[in-house]
Amino acid sequence: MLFENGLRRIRARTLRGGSPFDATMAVRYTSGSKPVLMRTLDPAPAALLLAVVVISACGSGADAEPAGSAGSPAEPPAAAAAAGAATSMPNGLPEVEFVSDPDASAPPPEAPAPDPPQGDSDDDALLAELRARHEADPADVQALRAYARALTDRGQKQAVVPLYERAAQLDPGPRSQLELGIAYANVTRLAEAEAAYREVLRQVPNQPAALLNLGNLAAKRADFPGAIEWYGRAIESDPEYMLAYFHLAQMFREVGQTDRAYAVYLTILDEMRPTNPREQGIYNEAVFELASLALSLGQAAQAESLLSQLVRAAPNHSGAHYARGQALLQLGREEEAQQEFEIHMRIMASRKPTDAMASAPEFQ
Amino acid sequence: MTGPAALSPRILVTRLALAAGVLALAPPASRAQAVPVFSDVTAGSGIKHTNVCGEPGRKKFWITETMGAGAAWLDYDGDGKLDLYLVNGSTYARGADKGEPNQLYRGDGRGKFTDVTAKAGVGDRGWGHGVAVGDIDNDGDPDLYVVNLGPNALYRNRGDGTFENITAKAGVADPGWGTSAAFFDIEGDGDLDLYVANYVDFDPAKVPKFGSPEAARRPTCTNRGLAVFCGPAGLPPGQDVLYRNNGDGTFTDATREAGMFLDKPRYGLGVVTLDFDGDGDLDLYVANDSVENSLWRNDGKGRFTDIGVRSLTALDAAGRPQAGMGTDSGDYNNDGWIDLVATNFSHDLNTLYRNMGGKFFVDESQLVGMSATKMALSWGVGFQDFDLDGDLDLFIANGHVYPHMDDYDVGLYFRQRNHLFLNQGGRFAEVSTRAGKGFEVARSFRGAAFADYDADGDIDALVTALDEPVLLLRNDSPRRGHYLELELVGTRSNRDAVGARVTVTAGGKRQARERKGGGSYLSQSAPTLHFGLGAATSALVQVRWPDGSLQELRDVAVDRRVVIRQAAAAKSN
Repeated sequence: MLFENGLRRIRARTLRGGSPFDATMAVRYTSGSKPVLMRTLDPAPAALLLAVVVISACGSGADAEPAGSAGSPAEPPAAAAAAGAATSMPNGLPEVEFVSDPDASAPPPEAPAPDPPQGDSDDDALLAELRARHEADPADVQALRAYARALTDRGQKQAVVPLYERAAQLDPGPRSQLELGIAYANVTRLAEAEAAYREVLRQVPNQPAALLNLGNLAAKRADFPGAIEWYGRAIESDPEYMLAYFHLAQMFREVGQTDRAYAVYLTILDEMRPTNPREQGIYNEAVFELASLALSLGQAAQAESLLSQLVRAAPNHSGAHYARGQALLQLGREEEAQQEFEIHMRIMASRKPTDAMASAPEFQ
Repeated sequence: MTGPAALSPRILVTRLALAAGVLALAPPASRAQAVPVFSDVTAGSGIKHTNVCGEPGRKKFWITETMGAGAAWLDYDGDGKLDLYLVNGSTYARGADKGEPNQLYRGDGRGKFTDVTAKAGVGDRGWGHGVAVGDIDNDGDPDLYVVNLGPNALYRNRGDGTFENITAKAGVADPGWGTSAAFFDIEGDGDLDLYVANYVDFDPAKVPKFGSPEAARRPTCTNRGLAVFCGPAGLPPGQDVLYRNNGDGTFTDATREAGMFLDKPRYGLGVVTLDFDGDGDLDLYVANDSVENSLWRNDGKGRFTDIGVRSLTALDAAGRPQAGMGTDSGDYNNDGWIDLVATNFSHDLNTLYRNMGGKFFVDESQLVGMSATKMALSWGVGFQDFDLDGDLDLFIANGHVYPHMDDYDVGLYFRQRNHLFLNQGGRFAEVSTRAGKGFEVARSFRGAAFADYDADGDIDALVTALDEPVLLLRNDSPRRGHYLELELVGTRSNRDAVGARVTVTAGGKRQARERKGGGSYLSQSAPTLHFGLGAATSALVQVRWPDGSLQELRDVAVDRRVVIRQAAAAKSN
C-alpha cells in the first residue's frame, strides 16, 4: 500500500479548509522496494524546504537508478499493448477513455502536416466495418462497444450516448454503467453521469474508477475541493491508481496548493512504475508538470534535464518539446530552442481540431 | 515484465531547486491595500445604448451573433473633454447594412453625455464590432475607423463636429469579418497606417446551424462535449489586412508587401501595438482565437516577421494554443520592458507574458495570480493604474458565448462579473468583490475602454455587453495617490504620437508607457497617458517620440493634465 495514510490526512485537512502549512502532513513514503521513509511537511515553509531536502538526500540512491531497474513493476495486461483497446483497470473494469497521447512513442512528424482532413479514409473504413458489425448483431455488446469507442475517438460524443445506453440495457453490470457515465459526462449530462457512477458503486462498493470519475464530475462543476475528496477516495480504494494521483495533483494546482501538487507529482515519479502505455503516459505527464514547474521558477537547467529525457522517451509529446525549447532559450541555446519549437508546431499542426474552442484540457 | 518508465528523471538537484522555488509561489504577502471602488453610473449619464448582435439570448445560431461590439474614448470636437463612440451590430433578419446605428456621445467632462450621432454623421449601420481612432491626416482631430461583419467604414473628422465617410476613396473597406483594428505608423513616415484583424471567412449558408443534425456530427460544433454553434475551429479563418497610409487620404493594401500575409490565416480578434524590443519602432501583437497568437516584429521599415512562437507569446506555457480574445500591452513590473496580456476562454488562464529584456517572453500567468479567475471567459482588458500607486493593475471584462450554458451544472454562466486585479509588487490580487457595486453587475460583457472621462484624476471604464446595455463604471475611490495625465502632440512624428514612449520618474519609481494603437477587445481607450504617482508631488517626464527624438520635462507638477508638444528641435536619439 502506497501513500494511503498520507493521502487520508491530506484529504482530511483539505476538507477542513486548512492551509498547506497548517499542520504536519505525514506521508508514508516508499521508493520502489526500498525501505519506507516518512516525509513530514511541517507548518513553516522553511521546514517544508528542509524536509524535502532531507528526503531528497535519503532517496537519492533510488533516484540515481536507471528507471528500468528500480522497483518491481507488475506485468502489464496484454490488452494494454494495443493503443485504444480496453485495458485492465482496478477491480477488473475496463478503461474506456485514453487521455494521454496514444502515439506518445511515435516519432514526431518530419514535415508540416496538411490541413486537417474532413475524413480519413482508413478511419472511415474502420468505422464502417465496426458499424456493420454492430448492425449485423445489435445485441452483441462487444461490437456495440467497439463501434462506440471508434465514434468517441472521432469526437462523436453525442452519437455514442444512445449506444452506451443500449449497452447498459443489454448488460447492466458495472462496466456498462461506468461507460455510460463517461458518455453522459462527455456531453455534460452530469446528473445522469453521476447516477451511473453511483450505480457502479452500488454494485461494486469503492470501485476506484467510479470514484475517480465522480471526482472528474466535481471538477467539471468547478467543485475543486469535492474533486480532491473523490480522488482521495479513489486512491484509498486503490493506492496504485496512478491516474487518481495525477488528477489529485492537478486539482491541488487548481486550488493553488502548488506544494501539495508538487508532492503528489513526486510520489508518482518516485513510488509508481507504469505498467501499461496509459500509465506511461500519465507518468510522462507528471515529469512534464514537474519540469514545467521548474521552468516557471526560472530553473531552466533542471527543467531542460528532465525534458530532454522526456522527449527521448516520448518524442511525440509536443508540450515537452515546447517546454524544452523554453528552457533552452533561457539557457541561451537559441538554435536548439528553435528546433524544439519547430517540432512542437509540426506535431500541433498534425492534429485535428476536436472542439469549437481551444482551452485547457478536461479531466477524464 | 515491463520495466519502469523509460526515463529516469534525475530528481535530486531538481527537487532541491524546486522545493526552494515552491516557496516563491506562495501568494503575495497580505497587505492592507485599499481597493478602488467603482459605481455603475450608466443610468444618470445620458448614455442609452443596448447592443444588438444577432438574435438575442437563446435564438443565436451562429458564431457571428456572439462577438459583441466595442467602444472608443476620443475628443472628437477638441474641447478637452472626452466623448464616447459606441459600435452596434445587426441581425440576419435586418441585414448586414441595416443594423442598429453606432452612436457618438459628446461628453461634458463632468460625467454627462449627449447623443450627437446624427449631427456628426457617424451612425454607421453595418454589423459593427470594432472601432479604432486615429488622426489619419494629421490635421489635429481624431478620425474613426469602424470594423464590421462586412465592409468597414472610415469617417474623416472635418474638424467642425461632423464627419465624412471616405471609405471608398481611402480604399479601406475590407469586406471580411473584421473585429479589432489599430492605427500605428509602421515605417516612421509620419502618418498612421492601419491594421485590421479578421476573424472568420464566414458564410452562414456553408456553416451548419446550431442544433442541426449536421452540427451534431461535427466535433467543432461542440465545446467540452456540449452542442454549441460551430467554430471558430473548423471554419476558414479570415486574413488580417495591413493598410499603408499614402499620405493623401488614400491607403494601399500592404499586407503581402509587409510580410503579414499568412498562408494559414488565424482567427484574429484583439490587436495592440508595443515596442517589445526597445528598438524604437512599433511591433504588433494579435490575439487569435484557438490558434497561435502572432507577434509581428517590425524591422523599422514597415516589414514584419511573425516571431510569436519563438518569442513564446504565441502559446501558453504548456505549448497549447489558447482562445485569444483581447489583449493589452504595458510594463506591469516597471522594469522598462513592455509586457503583454491576452484574455482567453473559460477553463483557461488569462495569459500574462513577461518581457525578458526584449529577447523573449515568459508566461508568468500562474506565478502572478491569474489562475484566480480560470472559469471566466474573458474579453476586454486594460493595464491601468486604477489605485494611482505607481504600477499597472488589470481590468478584465467577462461573459460567456453560449447562452444555454446556464442550463448546465458546470460552474459557468452566460452572464459574468468583471474582474479587477490589483498589482502588488508584480503579482496580482483579484479584488473585484471589494471593488464596489459596479463590479456586482453580471452581463455577457465584451469590449472595455478606459479613460478619466470625468477628469477627476482616476481611471474609469466603459464596458460593452452582448445583447444588453453598456456599463459605465466610475472610479469613486477616495484619492490614494497623485497622478499625471499626458497628452502628446507630434509635430514631426504622427500627430497622435502613436509609438511615443514616455518615462515618468517620481517618488523613486520609474514608469514607462507607450502611446498605443489598439488594445483591449474591439475598443480603444483614451489617447492620453495616465500615470499614478503615489505620494510624489513632482515628476521628471522623458519622451522618446516616434521619430527617435527625445524631450525632457523636469519638475512637472502633479494632479493635472499636461499637453506635450513635440519640440521643433528636439534632441535626436
